[in-house]
Amino acid sequence: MSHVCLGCGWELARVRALPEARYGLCLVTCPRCDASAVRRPDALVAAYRRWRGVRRSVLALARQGGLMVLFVLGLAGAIAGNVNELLDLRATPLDAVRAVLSADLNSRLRDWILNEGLFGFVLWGALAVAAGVWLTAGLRHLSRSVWLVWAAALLIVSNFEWVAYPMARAFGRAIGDPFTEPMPVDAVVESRLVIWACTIALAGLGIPLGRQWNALYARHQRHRAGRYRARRRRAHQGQMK
Amino acid sequence: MNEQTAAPAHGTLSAPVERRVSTVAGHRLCSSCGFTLLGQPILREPHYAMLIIRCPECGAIAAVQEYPALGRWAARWAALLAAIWLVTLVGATLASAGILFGMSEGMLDAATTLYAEEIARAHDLWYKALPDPKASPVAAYMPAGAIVAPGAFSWIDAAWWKSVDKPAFLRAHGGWFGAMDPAAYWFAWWVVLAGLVIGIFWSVALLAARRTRAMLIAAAIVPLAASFCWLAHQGEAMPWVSGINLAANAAEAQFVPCTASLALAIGALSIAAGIWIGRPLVRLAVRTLLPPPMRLPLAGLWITDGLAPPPIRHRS
Repeated sequence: MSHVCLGCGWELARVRALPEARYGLCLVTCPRCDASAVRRPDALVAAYRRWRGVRRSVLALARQGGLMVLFVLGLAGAIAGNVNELLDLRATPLDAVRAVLSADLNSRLRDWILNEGLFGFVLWGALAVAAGVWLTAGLRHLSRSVWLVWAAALLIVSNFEWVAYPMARAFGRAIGDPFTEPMPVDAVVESRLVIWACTIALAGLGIPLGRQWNALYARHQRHRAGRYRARRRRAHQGQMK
Repeated sequence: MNEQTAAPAHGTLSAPVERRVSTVAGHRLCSSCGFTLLGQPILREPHYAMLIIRCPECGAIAAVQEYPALGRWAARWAALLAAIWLVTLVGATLASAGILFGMSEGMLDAATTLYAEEIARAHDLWYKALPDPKASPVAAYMPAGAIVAPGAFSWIDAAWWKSVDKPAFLRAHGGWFGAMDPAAYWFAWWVVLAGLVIGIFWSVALLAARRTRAMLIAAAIVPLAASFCWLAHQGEAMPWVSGINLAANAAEAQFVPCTASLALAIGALSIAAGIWIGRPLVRLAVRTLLPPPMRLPLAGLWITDGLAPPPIRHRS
């Protein structure tokens, strides 16, 4: 890209830009008239870089927004789903734990949890731990109060069946696919709170993983900055020779 | 352009001083801390004789030397991108109207199920009372010997439906709002949701416009969606079959003015609300979900409403 000296019109494209100590800027000094100037990228290149920055931020925002929706709606759905399953089996979370720990092979509840319900429980646990990693590593720029906001959002959204069910039914009716799942109006509040608390506790298991991720990322950033400094030092030494 | 020179005091050695040559008139952010430099003086510094701006917040220096674009390609690309953006916005207007039209059709389907069943039941009574039911065109669609319960998707005799006093039939079943399936009221929440999403999209897409002016887009989308509704419900629902109709189609033809105006009104209000809350909501999302250095490229969301951009460094 062309870079013309504003003092004498000399082509500065092949003159190396060097860091100066006074202002901390990278300056190109014209060999003919001694005028100094910062290197300016071409208008098209500058516009492309601006667009690349916006694209990077928008993609990061979409990724973070998607994860937020996944972790709030997915886990709220898992809480409501587990409560409904236990309600169908006329059991509480404590009954479920007792049934799994017992050696009673004839227990219907134990049989259901270890066969049909296993996939759902594993998915719920993995999602909760992943949410903990995300809250620790993905939102590390926020204070710890983000955990309170997330837990409150989870509790509120998992109690929104009275809105979600009629809306799903109305949508099903509009597209000609009737949604006939009955609304669990008598779902036990205690079960819901216990499963919600278990979700928060499982997310807490993700904190060490998130911290590990943060440490690895910080090390990577330090290495990158070191490599950048070394490259600039080598360039400066090359210019001095 | 403001010209101010800080002259050295008499009797002292003349020290090199910075000379103020102008003021920053556009939006430019400090590359170090993200502080907006609008209104800051542009100085001619004495050491290299360069034009600089000094950030009042962190003291970082920015060189403001700008080179004119000598080639023609920058202007050509700018014109091409502006044209592509304009076409995209026109497409997005049509898509928004299409979504609103689809929502009004969904609300129509959800609203008319019970009323269509009433029509089918009335037709069934009439059909069974006929001296010779086989003479009706519906007979060809009735399975011989089978007992079919009248439902929303039952066939009805078009001539019978034409002879019925439709406003009186609707009044007898409680009028528009009495005969409407309650599912339609729940479906209205989907319309609200879609309208809010459309509004938020437009509040960000029309970043250069004030929110009150961006509201005009709702005024363009709703008539477009209304014209789609009008076009979709012109003529018969199924012109390829003669003499018969579906109970659902008969009910929908009667309910269109009610549900379409209801859905479009709810949609317009939701789009307006989405435009109003869109930018603050997106700013909150950016502040919450992005680390400070990644907020700088999206500073336009703040600058457009006259707000200071968010800090791009972590608070210590």
